[in-house]
Amino acid sequence: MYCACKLLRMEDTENSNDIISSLPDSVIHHIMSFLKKKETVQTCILAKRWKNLWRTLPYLHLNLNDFGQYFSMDSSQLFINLISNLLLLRDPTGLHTFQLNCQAPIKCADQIISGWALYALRCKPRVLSACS
Amino acid sequence: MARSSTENMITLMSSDGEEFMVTEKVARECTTIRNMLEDDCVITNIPLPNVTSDILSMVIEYCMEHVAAAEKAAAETAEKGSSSAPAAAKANKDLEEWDKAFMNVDVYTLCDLILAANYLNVSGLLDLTIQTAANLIKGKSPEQIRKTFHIQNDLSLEEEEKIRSQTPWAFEKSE
Repeated sequence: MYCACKLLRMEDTENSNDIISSLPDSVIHHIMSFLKKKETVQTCILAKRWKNLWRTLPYLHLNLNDFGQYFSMDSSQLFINLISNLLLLRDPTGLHTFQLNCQAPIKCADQIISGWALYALRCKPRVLSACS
Repeated sequence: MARSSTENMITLMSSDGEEFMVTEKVARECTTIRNMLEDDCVITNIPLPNVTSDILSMVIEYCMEHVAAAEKAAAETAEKGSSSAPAAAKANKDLEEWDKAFMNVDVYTLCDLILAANYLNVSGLLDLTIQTAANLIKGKSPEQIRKTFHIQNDLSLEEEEKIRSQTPWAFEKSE
């Protein structure tokens, strides 16, 4: 049964083998919400279809613990740049969830955190949470 | 398992015309069908033009297993007066094992199941399949992800370099 289905699909279109890319954006975003930020952004070079998908991801869970490697480098600035870049490059429309977890040993000025929170507020997400 | 004869049966019809007869309880695991039944309680035949028979049979298998597990847990609670924590934990673990075995499918079937779970709104199955797909991506290089999901890279080398240069921090080596 399954083989017949697969064959049909192959005949349908040229790139029909690539079933994950044919999923709707909302479903791919759902999958991305289980990945780390860096892994999500890395999908941009998979193929043209994936180039901008991370930018419209409506769920933003920024957990400073995900960026562990930057702490050992004692380079808070690098981390701050990373998040700021991410917020700058993503598409500001359609933000559903914004979660910020700053429970990590990193020096991050209140001013910067406020800036990120302001970004989130402007996007009017349905879920907004922050803890430090 | 004894089934009461008064239980309503619903016929689900796949896109390729195959009919599946299930109990209303099993059908109600799909929120999309539950809403249809609540809007029109005499409906007994539901066409599902977006789901093929091989995928629909798997969705039904999942729903039946989860309904049976919930019924068993409820029966045990009723029998003993209160639920026994170790027994409940074991039942949960068994169901998790079953889910894990159920997810032993190729990526085509996995993506078809995601689409069906999304369309029929079976939240447990959607979470399970989405998590499984995410696990197949985690920790892999872009090249490995392309191979796993048979993604055709239609970017030229120049285009790929250009995209990489927009987010260099995402491609820095860690660890």
